[in-house]
Amino acid sequence: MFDRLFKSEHQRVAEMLSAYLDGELLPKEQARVEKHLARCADCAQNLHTLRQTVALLGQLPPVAVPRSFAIRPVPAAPRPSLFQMRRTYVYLRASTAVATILLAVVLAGDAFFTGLAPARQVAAPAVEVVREVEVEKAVVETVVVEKEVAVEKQVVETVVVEKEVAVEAPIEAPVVESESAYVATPSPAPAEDKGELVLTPKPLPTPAMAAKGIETAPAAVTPSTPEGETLAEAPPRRGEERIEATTIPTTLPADAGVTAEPAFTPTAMPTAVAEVLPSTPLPQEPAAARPSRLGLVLWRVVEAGLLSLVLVLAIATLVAKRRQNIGWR
Amino acid sequence: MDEKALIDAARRGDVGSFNQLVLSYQSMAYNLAYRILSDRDAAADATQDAFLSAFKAMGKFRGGSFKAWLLRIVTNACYDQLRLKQRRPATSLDALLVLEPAPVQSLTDPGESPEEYVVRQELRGAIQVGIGILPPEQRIALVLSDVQGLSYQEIAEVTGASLGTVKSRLSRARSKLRDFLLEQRELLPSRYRLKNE
Repeated sequence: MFDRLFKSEHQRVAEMLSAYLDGELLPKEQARVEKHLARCADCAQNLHTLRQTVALLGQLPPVAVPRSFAIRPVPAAPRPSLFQMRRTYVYLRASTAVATILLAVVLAGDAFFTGLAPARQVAAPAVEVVREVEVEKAVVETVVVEKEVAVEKQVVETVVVEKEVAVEAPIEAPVVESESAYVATPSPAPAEDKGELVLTPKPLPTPAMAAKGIETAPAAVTPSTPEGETLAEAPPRRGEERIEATTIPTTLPADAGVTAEPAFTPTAMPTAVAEVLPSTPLPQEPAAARPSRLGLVLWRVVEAGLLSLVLVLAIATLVAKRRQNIGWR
Repeated sequence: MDEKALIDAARRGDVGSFNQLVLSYQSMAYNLAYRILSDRDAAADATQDAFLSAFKAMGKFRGGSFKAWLLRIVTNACYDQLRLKQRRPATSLDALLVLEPAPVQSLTDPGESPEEYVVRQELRGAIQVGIGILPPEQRIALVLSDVQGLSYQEIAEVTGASLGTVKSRLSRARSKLRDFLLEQRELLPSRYRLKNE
């Protein structure tokens, strides 16, 4: 019990030795420490080594300051201008980057759509081409029509179906048209700007075409090709019927007096039409094609504008960078 | 111009006046930072940071001891450096050696031999290592008291701790350093040893 009390007193005094050294103890505490020190050699020893330690610390020489820590006066004018220059340079650089990316996107879009143009135009020209076929036929082959009108007047009733198909098909969809009269196939060279269409008369399906999977016209749409007729006769008859369908109301009275040309062979007609079509300019440009051409021009204008913008920005960026570098010096 | 006038001018943003205060206190600030951090470069960084912070915070100085206020900023900058050091621990051997920097003036005793000078430098290095192994708050209390010579009251102001806390931190710090130096005494010549009576 006494021993424990003594121990705790020893420990308490040991904790106070540091403050005792500095004279930071209350007089009561100081007397307590001195009383304990008189009879405790350990604590006296501790006090001695502590004093030595403090003395050694006090002998540490002040180290030399490596440099002045004075704060540099903030120059009022140059700093902000330098900052602004830097900011301008950063903005210009960012703008140049953005403009360049935009230009790249526009150019890529141009290349993409120009490359796709033939494929895109497949649908529209197909409609036009059929109209063309009819117009051409009306002009060129009225003779044939007139010639056979008398003979085949009774056929007109049967042709009514065909007539409707021929008239409506071009307006509605090229798919119907291809089923009714011609198969519109994109030209094998789609890189050309104007997608050339090769009109293949259906009544003359070649084995190669069949192999390619091109459908032959359904029997219902070609009622004028009776069984037993020669293949050579089939196309002109269909052509005639269609011409009748489209041109009878308008052209028949005017061309009534024209005599038929016997040299006009039925087999030659469809191929001639097919050959003429791609090369002859369309008399009436389709409404859908005009905006695309205008769009192309606009596109080019945008490209040119962006290109000049990029150039101007790049030069401005270089100038800003140079000015900034001079400013930093 | 006296310190109060300089402080007032600095509070109004006068850099010149503040720099005069810097000149007065930079040695104390750097020495405190060096003893706390045991690294010259880190001490210089902490000192510079502290003066910049002090200049920015001059408006918040509400009178009292400017020295205590400034040293508090220095110790905070030292804590920042210690945290930085913890994140990027030194890996080179050089960083582990504590080389005592050159003192302000040559304190070489005319009768001191070169060998004795080297030994004394070693002792200083050992003391600095001993300071460096103390926990930061004990280290700061020890340096402020026994190297910088601040009173308990001033230390309490700088550290924001109570007087009782300052006393106990200082007591533990001194005891630990003493024990460390007693362990090292065989390495040092008898003249510089801590001696048991």
